[in-house]
Amino acid sequence: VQTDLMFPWYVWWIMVVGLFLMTFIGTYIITRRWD
Amino acid sequence: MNQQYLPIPEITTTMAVSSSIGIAVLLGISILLGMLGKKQWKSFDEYLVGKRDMGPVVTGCALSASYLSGWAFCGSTGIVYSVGFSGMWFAGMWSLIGVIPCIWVASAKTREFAVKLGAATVPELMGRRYESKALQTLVSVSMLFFLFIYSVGQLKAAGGVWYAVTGFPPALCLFLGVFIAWIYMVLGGYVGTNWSMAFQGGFLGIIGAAVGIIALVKSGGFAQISTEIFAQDPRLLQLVRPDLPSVGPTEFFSSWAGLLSIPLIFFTMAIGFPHNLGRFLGMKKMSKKEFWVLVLIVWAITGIPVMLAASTNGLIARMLFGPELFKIEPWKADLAAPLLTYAIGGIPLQTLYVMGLFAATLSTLAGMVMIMSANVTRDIITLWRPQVKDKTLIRLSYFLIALFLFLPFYWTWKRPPELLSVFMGLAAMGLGAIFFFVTAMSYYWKGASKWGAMATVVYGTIASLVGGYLVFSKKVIGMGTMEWILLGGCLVLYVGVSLVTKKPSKELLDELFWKKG
Repeated sequence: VQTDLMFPWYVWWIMVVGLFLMTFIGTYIITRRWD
Repeated sequence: MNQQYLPIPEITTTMAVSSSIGIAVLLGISILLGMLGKKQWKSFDEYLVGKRDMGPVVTGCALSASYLSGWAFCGSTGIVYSVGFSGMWFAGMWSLIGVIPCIWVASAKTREFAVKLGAATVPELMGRRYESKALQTLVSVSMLFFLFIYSVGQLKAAGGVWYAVTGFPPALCLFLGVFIAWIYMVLGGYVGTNWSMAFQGGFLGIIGAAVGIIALVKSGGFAQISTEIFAQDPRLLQLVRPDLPSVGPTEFFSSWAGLLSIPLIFFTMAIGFPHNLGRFLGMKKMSKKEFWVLVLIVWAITGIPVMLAASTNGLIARMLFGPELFKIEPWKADLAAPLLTYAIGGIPLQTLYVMGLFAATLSTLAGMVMIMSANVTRDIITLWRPQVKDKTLIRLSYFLIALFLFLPFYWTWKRPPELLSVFMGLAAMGLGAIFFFVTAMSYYWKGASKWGAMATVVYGTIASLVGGYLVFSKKVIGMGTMEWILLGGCLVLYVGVSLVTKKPSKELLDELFWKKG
């Protein structure tokens, strides 16, 4: 029951961390070739 | 049963005076920055874009401020308070999926194209990119129409919260707010307005993050929140709520078609909003380091505060107050955010929150009004009557800015006409769907033609109007389904019509797309 209650928070953490990684990895790729 | 929830706080004199002083300070600093901008412009061109030398910190804060409205700062918490976890997707968990790619694909390109084409506004940029005065006129009329509808609802949250925490009628406070905005926009032009917006963006980012983090710390943690809201109503923990109607706006919480349309809406809105792209027109050319600073500032302001406002803040407000806020007419769930700040940080935090909400509201409205005024002066009058003098255009701008600031104030004070309310819901979606293609995609696709762009503008405008009627008045389809119809149609027309019609001249395309060396 406890696990069920926590399930939406796992999804929440995936969103928070995922969008953080998107921001960093995307910006790294875009600026990699810049002088 | 009621004893387990926090009582709804009564308005006290301290609370009212404190919020009044807070708003006065916020408006005072904004007007000061606007006055500093007064020395920065001499011609109408400089009034519209400054000297194109805005740095990454100012641009990042101002972009966040123009993008984040009172809704992101207040309405989002109310949605999650009302429906639980399933509301977080639409409330703003996806906000970064739009605004970060907006910097990636549109910041440097908007500046580069605007400099090459000598454009001071987004429609002017489009007119010259597609070599068509008719398209520039159509784009500015469509933009004016959508921004006007979208702007009318901008003051609602701030007015409601102001009344709820001070007991003073919102008319006077909102009038003061729009009057101050008029002064700093008229005095400061693009530069002064951008500086004021940057201050407002930085301020709301810090306050938003503080509120979200303090609320989370004081709530007792994730398991505690889950346990308490599960006890109230197990459906609040569901990530999708099939029990809610699948037609009308609740489709965003109730079905996968609705849920999956949300990241697309956020993606196209942030990239398509002209008041967002306007921040890049006056930006300097960014180095690698400056580009990183810009991205990180926008991530910090539209990431942390909005994600927390659109999830944990609403759930914690529900945990503390239970369903009691639904009984407070007419504000109901919109009081979740201001009452939460009072519960976790007393009057000081609530005052800072009200200031942050006004900062979010005024900056978004100012960004829109600046564009709307230039739609008339630069994009219609100068385009067809180039002999009109700068002085005349600047005076006309003063009047138009006052008019476009006054109308949202008037319709917050008096109920907006029913027809206007119906279209308001889809104005943001329509703006995003049209200008994502017509503007941002035209930076990358040489094959785009003015006919493809015109077809997209016409279809997107009509589809938004018909969609508003079908979603809100007739309630026959869901708002998420409408987004698929809107965006799908814009994509097919933009690409399809462009493929079979004449492109801009080779000289122009070589100039825009030729890489040196």
